[in-house]
Amino acid sequence: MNLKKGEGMARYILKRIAMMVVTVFVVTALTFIMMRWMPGSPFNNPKLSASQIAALSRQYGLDKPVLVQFWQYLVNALHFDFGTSYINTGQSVSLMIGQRLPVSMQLGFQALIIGVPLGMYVGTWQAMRKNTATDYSLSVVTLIFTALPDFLLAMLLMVFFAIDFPIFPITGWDSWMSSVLPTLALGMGVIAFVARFTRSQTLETLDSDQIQLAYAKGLNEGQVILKHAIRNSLIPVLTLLGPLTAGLLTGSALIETIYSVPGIGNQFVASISSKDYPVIMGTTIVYTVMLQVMILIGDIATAIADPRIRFGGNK
Amino acid sequence: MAKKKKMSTGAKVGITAVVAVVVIGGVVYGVTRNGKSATGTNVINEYLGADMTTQDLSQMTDSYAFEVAGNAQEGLLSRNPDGSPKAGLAKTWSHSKDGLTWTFHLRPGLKWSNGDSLTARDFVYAWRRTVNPKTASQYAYIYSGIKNADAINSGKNKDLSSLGITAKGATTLVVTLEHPMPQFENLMAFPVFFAQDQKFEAPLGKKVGTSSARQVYSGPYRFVGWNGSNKSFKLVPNKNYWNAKAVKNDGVNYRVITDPTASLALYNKGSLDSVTLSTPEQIRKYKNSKALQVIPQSGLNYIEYNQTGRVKALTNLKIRQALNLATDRSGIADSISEGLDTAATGITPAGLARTDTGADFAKTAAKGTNYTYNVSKAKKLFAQGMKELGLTSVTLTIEATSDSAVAKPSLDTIQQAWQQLPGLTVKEKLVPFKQRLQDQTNHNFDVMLAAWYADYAEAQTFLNLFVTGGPNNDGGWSNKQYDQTITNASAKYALNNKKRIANEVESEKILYDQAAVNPVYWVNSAQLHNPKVKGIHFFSSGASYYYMDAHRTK
Repeated sequence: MNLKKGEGMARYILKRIAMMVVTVFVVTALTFIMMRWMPGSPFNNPKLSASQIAALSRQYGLDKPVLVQFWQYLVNALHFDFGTSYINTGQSVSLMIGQRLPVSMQLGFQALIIGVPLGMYVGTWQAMRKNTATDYSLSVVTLIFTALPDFLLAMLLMVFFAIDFPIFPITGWDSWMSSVLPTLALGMGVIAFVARFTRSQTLETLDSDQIQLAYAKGLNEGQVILKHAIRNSLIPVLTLLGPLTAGLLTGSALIETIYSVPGIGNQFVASISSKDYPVIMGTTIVYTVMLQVMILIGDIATAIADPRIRFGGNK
Repeated sequence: MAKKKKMSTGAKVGITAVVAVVVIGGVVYGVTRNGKSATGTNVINEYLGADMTTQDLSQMTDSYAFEVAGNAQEGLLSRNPDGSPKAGLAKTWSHSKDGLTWTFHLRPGLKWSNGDSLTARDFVYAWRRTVNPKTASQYAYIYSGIKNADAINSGKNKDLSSLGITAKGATTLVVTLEHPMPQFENLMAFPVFFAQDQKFEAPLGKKVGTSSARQVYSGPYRFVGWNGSNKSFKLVPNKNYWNAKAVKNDGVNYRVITDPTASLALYNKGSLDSVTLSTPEQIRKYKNSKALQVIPQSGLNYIEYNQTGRVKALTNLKIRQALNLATDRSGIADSISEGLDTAATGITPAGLARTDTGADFAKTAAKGTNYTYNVSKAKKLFAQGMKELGLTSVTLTIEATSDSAVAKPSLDTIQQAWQQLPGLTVKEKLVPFKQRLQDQTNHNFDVMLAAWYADYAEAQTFLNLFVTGGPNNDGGWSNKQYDQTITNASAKYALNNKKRIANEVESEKILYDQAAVNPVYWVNSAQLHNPKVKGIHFFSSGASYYYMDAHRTK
């Protein structure tokens, strides 16, 4: 890379970070306002009288105009004070997320580590056997796994591998063995998804002039695949990887619920149904930032893998 | 072709390797795990159906938090297995003739689990903290009746020290009430009234009880291993508990398991000592199991009739009576729980309260009521009622909460039965729980399928609902005679068991005669319990289980 390109890249990243800040602000504002449009209050005990609910709202500052509350929230958030949960009374939101996010990230990371290489492997393998019986049957399998909801797969895996054949623990999060089933439940879909995508990309690449040239040079199939085809089909996979990673790392509510994984996914869903405003806000902000960062990293990685892409600023 | 074959071998090798690692790893793990699975220990294995939220006694609102607190803490009073009050941290107690002043004498030398001494002042601190509006306790309302509690909690009275509780020395506590409270002794065994260690809590501020280490314990157990988000923790015996010798086990292990398939599988495997059956399939499968226990929950599902004038037909007594007679209560119980819930015979569920003679209150009250399913009688009354109002057809919309899996089948059964009444059209409306609460408060409904759970083991926790202008009297029914019997029971005869019960039974009869509401079924919990574990005491209100006496038998 020459200096000029490096400069372009730095400017590009700065620009993207500025856009990220704007996006996070917009998402925060929209979530805050929409949250208040939902009916009811966080105090759902039917035994509380209207005046008691009013008193509680006053204590939590919920009686002020929404804009005033939002401003207060922003000021606090900029000081890294995301408030305390209404349901897990007294627990700070940062701590709640801090304890749960790493668990979800570990689970998501394991699913990625299994899912992406295996998916690419299966996809490439299929592409090389285009239109054979193996290709067709694998396509059916990957189609099923893409369509299968992950919670259903989670239930099936639990019934087969923990209950009928008790190889793995049924629930929990206390040893690496207990993480196998949730990882598979989350990872199978990734394998299938990446495999289908890689297959179609590799098929396209294999048809290209570049590959024909490589064959013409006398390279054997293995060399062609390893040196040329895989790198080319890697590029579109990389662009997918950003959002996919963010999605996986922030946890799957249903899988976490089924396997009793103390992650952030089921906490987030629970906070919405219980209207735990500070937790909803904190989690949304973390999700938004992670998604933005992952997309940016994906884009940068794509640029590095694909020499055709130049960053803005180069003339 | 030869090359392709080579790749496929590679693939086979790859896949075989992955499968081999997983399977061998699994087998090795399975073997080692079986090897170390501990049997013969005297630890009880239980689970909670949702995350632990807090162990701050002023802030807890859910049954799981109460269950843990009920075992890790003890109140002035505790409960016998039949629910009647017994001495707890207070060794003796007495009340003045008018029932307004209660004096408790604490056991000498009480200690918190961290060694701090536990005195009467810890109760004063705890009560003031809960009632203080700054604490924003959602359960502060239950202090209503303790002198100045309402005024302090609503902010009208700023003087916390005027709350009706004072410490006379380290072991004497005097409580003053605004009016006699029949449920008072019962409340003293409810965690919201337990002591809190000021010395330990004050430096923690809002963080009290946000993890098991941020709380100290006064009961048979200490709560350990909860970091605020994890899903496995336990109760271990508290050696500072005054009656530590009486604890018959080595503790309780808890896991949080939300998925019903998982919890049932763990029970069947022997990893859990009890499981709550939560789907109709599970109930069907274990209906005849010896391990099945049907445990009353002190919950009532009932139909409210809007009598504020929104629907003319519902202001007519005969039409309401007809609707009550056309309600197939056991049909509803069958459709939602394989008949394990109990068709209601009154407002107060069986198993909640006892009469002065020790009989079950609900059974005694049922002698004055007759909630039966009788369509022909219903048709007659309905026709008469319609004639009185000069109506030929009526449309009623029944509302229920969509968050509950049993609401839809309940509504279907009600609709089917009611539509047998000529001229009546019944529509169903399912709304989210929060919407339902709002509609109830605003009287914005025709007919509502509602639910209510007991706060304490006394019929008034249900009967008080229907007094004129009561905050949860959503149907707006009003009856002077009823208001009188309730006032008699709650104030005039609060401490005269015989007369109080008589007035409560009379109140149930008035509700029935006036078809004020329509009790449908009492909620039961179907649970499987390891028959080898004995001595778990169950309570249908407050902390649900006491584990102190639990032990394994051979």
